[in-house]
Amino acid sequence: MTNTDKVKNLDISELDKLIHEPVRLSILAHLYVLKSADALFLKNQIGLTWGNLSTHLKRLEEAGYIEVTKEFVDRKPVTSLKLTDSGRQAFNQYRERMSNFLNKLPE
Amino acid sequence: MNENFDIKEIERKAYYNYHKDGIVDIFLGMSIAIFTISFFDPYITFMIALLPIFYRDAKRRYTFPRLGYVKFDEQTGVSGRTIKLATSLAALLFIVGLLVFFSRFPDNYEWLNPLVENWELTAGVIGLLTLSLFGYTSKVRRFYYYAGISFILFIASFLISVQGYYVLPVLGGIVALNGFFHLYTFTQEYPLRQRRKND
Repeated sequence: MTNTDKVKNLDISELDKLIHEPVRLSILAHLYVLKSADALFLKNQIGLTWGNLSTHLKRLEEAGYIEVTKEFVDRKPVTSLKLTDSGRQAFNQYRERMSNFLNKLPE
Repeated sequence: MNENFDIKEIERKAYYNYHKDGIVDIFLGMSIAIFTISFFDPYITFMIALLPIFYRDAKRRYTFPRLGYVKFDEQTGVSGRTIKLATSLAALLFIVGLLVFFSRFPDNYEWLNPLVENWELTAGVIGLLTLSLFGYTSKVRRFYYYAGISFILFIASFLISVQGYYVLPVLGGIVALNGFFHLYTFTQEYPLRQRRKND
């Protein structure tokens, strides 16, 4: 297969557009390795403003990729964010597809 | 925004930041100090059992309001590592205990005599192994430095014939002071009042 054929076979439409955004990808990657975290921890880790973080968290929550729960830690309320099963599945699928896509790129 | 998407690096960085506050160092330094005092007053050893309660309280007061609240995955995170660390330390203590037990019968176990006579060297190696184990299981690199310092201090006390008992408070002091330094820089880097009102 020539390089031109390889480029023609590349299909980027399979990638999840919601995840294929640097901030949302970073949020999901953090929640993928952590059991749960609150918004302040994510803000500090990723380096975002509150407004920016809230917008992306809302979109991820609407898509069902993250779950927001209120819990009490040492009698203080904490808003925890957690990756849902469908979020984990979507993230794994994105990683697989992105990896295939990059591997198909001609040298 | 930090655009590093290496999954293991993200987990490592999150865990590193969680321990950036130096609280674990302060409590390790205090444990060493209590251990030293227990040579003179064995009843004080029970205080080590209280340290986890104070540790949790310090995390609640200083770390969570500044850095945010986080739970690590049990397989790779804090709980998993704590179990590994406790198991490894228990195994190490068991070996040390066996050595102490055998040393009570010097005629039967002559090979142990050099280890007991040069106890500073033995303690140096045990300190090196224990603190390196802390570093390996917690993935906090500072513990490797403490392991090196501990080893150097014990070897120096052996070479210049200084009473080896002085090494432990010096080591505990260095570890705790470094912890306080980290706590100070942590509070400067992550000041309070950065939470949203509705959080």
